[in-house]
Amino acid sequence: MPRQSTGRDPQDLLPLTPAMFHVLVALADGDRHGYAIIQDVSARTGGRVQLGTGTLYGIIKRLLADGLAIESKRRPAAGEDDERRRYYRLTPFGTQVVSAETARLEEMVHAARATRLWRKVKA
Amino acid sequence: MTRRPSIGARLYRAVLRLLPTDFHGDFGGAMAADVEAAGPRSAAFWWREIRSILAAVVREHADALRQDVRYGLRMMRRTPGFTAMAVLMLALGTGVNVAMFSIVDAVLLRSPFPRADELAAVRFSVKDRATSLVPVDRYHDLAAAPGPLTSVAAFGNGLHVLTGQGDPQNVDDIECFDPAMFDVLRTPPKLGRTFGPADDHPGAAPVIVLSYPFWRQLGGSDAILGSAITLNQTPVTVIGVMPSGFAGPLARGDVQGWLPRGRPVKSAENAGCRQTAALNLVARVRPGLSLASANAAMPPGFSLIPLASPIMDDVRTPFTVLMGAVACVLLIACLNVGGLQMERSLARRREIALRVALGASRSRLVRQTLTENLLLAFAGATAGLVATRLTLAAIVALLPGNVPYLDQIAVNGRVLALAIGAAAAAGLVAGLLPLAESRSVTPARDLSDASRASERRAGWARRALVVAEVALSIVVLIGAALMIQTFLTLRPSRPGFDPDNKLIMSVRLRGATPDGSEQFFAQLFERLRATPGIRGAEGSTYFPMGGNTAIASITIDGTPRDLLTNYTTPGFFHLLKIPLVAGRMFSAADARGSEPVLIVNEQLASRIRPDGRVIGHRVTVQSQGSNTVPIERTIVGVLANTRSSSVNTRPRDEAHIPYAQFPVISQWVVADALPGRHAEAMAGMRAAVRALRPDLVVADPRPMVNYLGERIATTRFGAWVLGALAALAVGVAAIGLAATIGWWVRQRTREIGVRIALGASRAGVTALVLRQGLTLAVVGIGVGCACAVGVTRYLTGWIYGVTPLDPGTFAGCAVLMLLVAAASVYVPVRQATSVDPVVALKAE
Repeated sequence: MPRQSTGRDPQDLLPLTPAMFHVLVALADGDRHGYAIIQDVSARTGGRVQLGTGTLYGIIKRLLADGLAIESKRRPAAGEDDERRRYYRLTPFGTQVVSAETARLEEMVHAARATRLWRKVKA
Repeated sequence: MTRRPSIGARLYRAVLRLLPTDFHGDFGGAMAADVEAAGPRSAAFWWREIRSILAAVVREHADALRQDVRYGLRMMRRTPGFTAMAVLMLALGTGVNVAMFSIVDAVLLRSPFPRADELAAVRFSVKDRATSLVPVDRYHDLAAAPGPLTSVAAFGNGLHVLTGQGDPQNVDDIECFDPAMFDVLRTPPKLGRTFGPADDHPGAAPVIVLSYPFWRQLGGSDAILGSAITLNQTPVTVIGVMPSGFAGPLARGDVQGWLPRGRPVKSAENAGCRQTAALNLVARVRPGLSLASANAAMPPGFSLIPLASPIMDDVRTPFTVLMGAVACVLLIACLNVGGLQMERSLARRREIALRVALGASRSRLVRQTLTENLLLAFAGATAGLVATRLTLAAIVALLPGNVPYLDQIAVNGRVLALAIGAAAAAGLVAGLLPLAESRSVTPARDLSDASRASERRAGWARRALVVAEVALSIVVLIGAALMIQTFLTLRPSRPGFDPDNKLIMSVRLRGATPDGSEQFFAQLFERLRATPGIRGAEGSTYFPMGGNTAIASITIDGTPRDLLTNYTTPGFFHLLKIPLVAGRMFSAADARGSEPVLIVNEQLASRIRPDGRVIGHRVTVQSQGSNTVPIERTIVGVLANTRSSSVNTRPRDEAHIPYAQFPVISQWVVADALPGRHAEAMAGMRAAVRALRPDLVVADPRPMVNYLGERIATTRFGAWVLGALAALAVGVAAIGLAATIGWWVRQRTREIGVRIALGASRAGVTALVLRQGLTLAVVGIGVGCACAVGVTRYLTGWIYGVTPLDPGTFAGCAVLMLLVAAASVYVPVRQATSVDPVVALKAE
């Protein structure tokens, strides 16, 4: 059972692991099943991140337990569906968390760019 | 169209099953669907996937375990009374096991020698009779052509040697080693060196290697190397100290040191090794060769047997019995905790049903229950380990001093492994019992009512547990009772002779002639009898249970037979109050020139003639020794049997010869002291020896009672430990009985309330409850006695004065158990008789 998302601070769950962040981002554009998530993450990272199913479903278990995602009841037409498949959807709280994490990462990147190091690398 | 799945896919599915049931149920199907979605895959893909699943398997199981542990701890905190009781019982159960195993591990299981499986004792056969003694020339043959052996070395006992450090002190536990013995046993010294060939010849300077305990006794300083200790007035240089735990090939716990065997005693005053015609040999078999195949390859006449200490044989039975008893105690504790858990799981039935209804898998419930019980068991084992660590020294102090490797007894890694194993076993036993019960939980029924049927079933199961507990504890109780009776019989107060007020002192006149010996001892006894505080003094080469024996051979009907012989002064039997059954005692008239006579014990008399009427009978006695001739002797008396040995308690064939007719150089001097004047008498004994021979160093006189007490130390240890274990077993079983009957009363509060309301008397209710408890006890006692019949025979050879199936012991233990059972039902009886009918009926 997903926990109530109201009244919880997304900051409590930060930082996310990179893999968890990728999965949440993959769900940001709509409901996806596991295989679709794996493909999406692979495509976004140019093939550098290949999630194994063991890793993926460990993350999904956490997302469900923490109320960041729920199982979606909307399924494709019977002809295209594999009934064993599960579809997942980001909850509003999940959206808050992934936004918060994105903001946190941005801040970090910004801080890094402001240093001499970055200017040296660029030059 | 269905395609046959690839090997990778099949392997993947197999690995998926390793995931925890809950996780597999939630995601297994989706995972399989995901990997099959894109058609055929490369081997690299499957490899990555399978690795990913295996990582998930570890992670998810660890996660589940973490949750189970948290849940278990919460449950334990919720019922602190139960938790404390369970932990205490399991602590006692594992504690006694850990303590006993520590001892068994050090004494029986662990060998101090590297590759001990290659070591063997060499035996030699003469006329088809294998003995442990090998003639010296055959030993040299074997050493020259060792066949399947890599090495062989001889050892023997050193001559009675004495040290003059401060007060003269007896050092008679010296062994003589070939230099090669240390190599055969593969044990280097802790300090200094062992012998080389240069130390091992008649002209060599005398050297000694000390045992660790003796070195500690002499101060335990490294500076001792190179310094001299005085043995038989001969300065002997200490060249090495062996490590702790090394006690020679026979593992004699009290061995003090080693001398090179090749350096002989030169005169009575010298320290060295007696040069005997035959030797004890220890050999190392070539690696990889079994003892059987090595035996087959041995030169003719030689054979090999596993190297084992005779002391080990003495303690093997006791330790095996005690290990059995401690295992029983642990099992009783487990059954008890299991029974209590059963009650709790019944109380939690609704909770479990609710969780099943909410989708918890049964395997998850099983894991949770087992985890909870394992937590209890490990908490108990930890407490038990700590308690053992604190009490082990006291337990070891009860052990006889000659048990080898006492200083090696410790809570070590193997003991820890046993504790963990015992805890795991305890947790499983205690946890599976309530599980058998909760398997029948069905939400539909158990959520609607607290099912009576399941309570009844659990009631039966729980009663069966209590019956088993009572049965096990009565087995331990009977064993303990037999052992305690043995101890009481063997105790020096009732050994078949009277050791009270007797002081003993061993005197040995090295190098004396028979005439000289006879004269010396005659003068000594005369002085002693005139010493204040001493009523009488006699001498003998042997006394019952004394351990020092001489063997002679007697010819009965043409067949020679070995028997214990004793050379005694005339008043010896009178002094020890050993009753004469027929004939006469020795007298001063039985002197060297008079007719050779003999007194036998009843045992030997009945061997000579079945009717035992042997007075006047003539037998030929050949005393042991190199230059003795067979002498025909007339039997003049028959003595009552006494115990001859302290551990093996059957009377043996014994023959007694007047000392005057066979004067040997050593005797036990036995003085009968006046009560309360022992110290004075002992000082008098020392003074008498000093007055006659100032140069003679003898061991301090000591009370015979103390000496005999040491001789039965194994029995005393067994009686103490088994007694304590029996008390523990009965106590735990009584708690189990009280708890079970208490539960029965709680279940029937309503029924009892109705009975009281209808006019049942307090006595009637008491009888009702008592009957419940005693029925279980009686059944348990019956089962237990039946088991004991099969078990007590393992005590044969260790018990004395009572048979393994002694009806009195069985009956006594049964009555005792019944009384304990009746007492333990007291609390539930109080509970039942105080039921208020109004409250009881309202509650339902």
